[in-house]
Amino acid sequence: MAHGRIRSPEDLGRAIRHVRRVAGLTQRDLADQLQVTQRWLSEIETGKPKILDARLFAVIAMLGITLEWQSDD
Amino acid sequence: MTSDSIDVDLRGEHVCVVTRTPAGAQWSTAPAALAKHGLGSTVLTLGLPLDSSPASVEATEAFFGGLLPEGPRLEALLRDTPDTSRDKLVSLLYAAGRDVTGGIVLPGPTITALGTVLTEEEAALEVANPRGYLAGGGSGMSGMQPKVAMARSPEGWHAARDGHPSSHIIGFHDIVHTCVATSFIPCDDETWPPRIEKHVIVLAIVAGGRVCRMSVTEAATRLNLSPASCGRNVRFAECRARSARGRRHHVTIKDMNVTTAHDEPAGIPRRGWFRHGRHAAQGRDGAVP
Repeated sequence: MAHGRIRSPEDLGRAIRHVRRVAGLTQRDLADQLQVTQRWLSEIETGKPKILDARLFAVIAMLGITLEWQSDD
Repeated sequence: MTSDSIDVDLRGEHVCVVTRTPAGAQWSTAPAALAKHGLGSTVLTLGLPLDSSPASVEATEAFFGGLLPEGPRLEALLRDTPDTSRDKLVSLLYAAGRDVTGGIVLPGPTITALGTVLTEEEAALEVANPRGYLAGGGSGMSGMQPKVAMARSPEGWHAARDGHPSSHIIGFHDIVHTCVATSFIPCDDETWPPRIEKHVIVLAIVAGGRVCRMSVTEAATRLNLSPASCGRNVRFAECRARSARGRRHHVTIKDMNVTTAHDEPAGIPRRGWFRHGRHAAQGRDGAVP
């Protein structure tokens, strides 16, 4: 079972990329299913600040909130 | 394990493999470490979070290149390593093996007994005059300043050798008076890491260095010493993180001044292989292109 903690846009992107790959999906496959562009998905997976603001995670950390994820692979 | 791939242990735990690729050295997380610590864990270093995908060559070489010995020992390593490939970091790491500093051990756990206990004065002399005893630091500052690797035990300071987990002490430059250390000595006593940081600061003072108010900060399982709000050049704190519990240990030395090694004063020759994550220079006095 894969797991991790999400403290930044990069952490979230890393988790999404990992689970997508385990599921055997390419970025194109997932983007098509979600009806988004592959570029948008790529930016999510690389933690680009244009989409996910790092300040959001700073707020979360400041308040002592812990975000964790796990998948069944 | 061959000279094309190196197992990396952190405090006796296998955490990753460094592999030679056509593009350079590349780091992959060991599955067991990934399962234990989780994706994105910074148990090894903040710059190389654990991942199910191999890390970039740049990030890998920036960190592991910093583990190599420096100065005369690097020159000897270059001379003695029979590898003529353009990028021979993996070969150098394999050859350096036990002699890298910190909690990381390559290519396997070969921790031996510590040497003779040094007096505080002898330890201070080592820091103040590191010639002939240079070792890499495994930080972004490798090659920027001479470093001394010593280990602190409850008995006192020892010369770290043969892969024993050590404290990295950045020695005092003629111009930049700095003493920064990161302790890696494994110990069940939770109060010990902060105490060793305090010992480092005291040693810095004994050796004539100047330090500033420091925070000993947890980052994953590591504790880092971070200068805090003491001058224009202090950026060390930027790359530090609080622990999940938000616990911080403060060690305060009053009336101090510090310039971190991240600052790059003009006129200081740089030595070493890596600068800001890029393969920069080989050989002595390393004129950085």
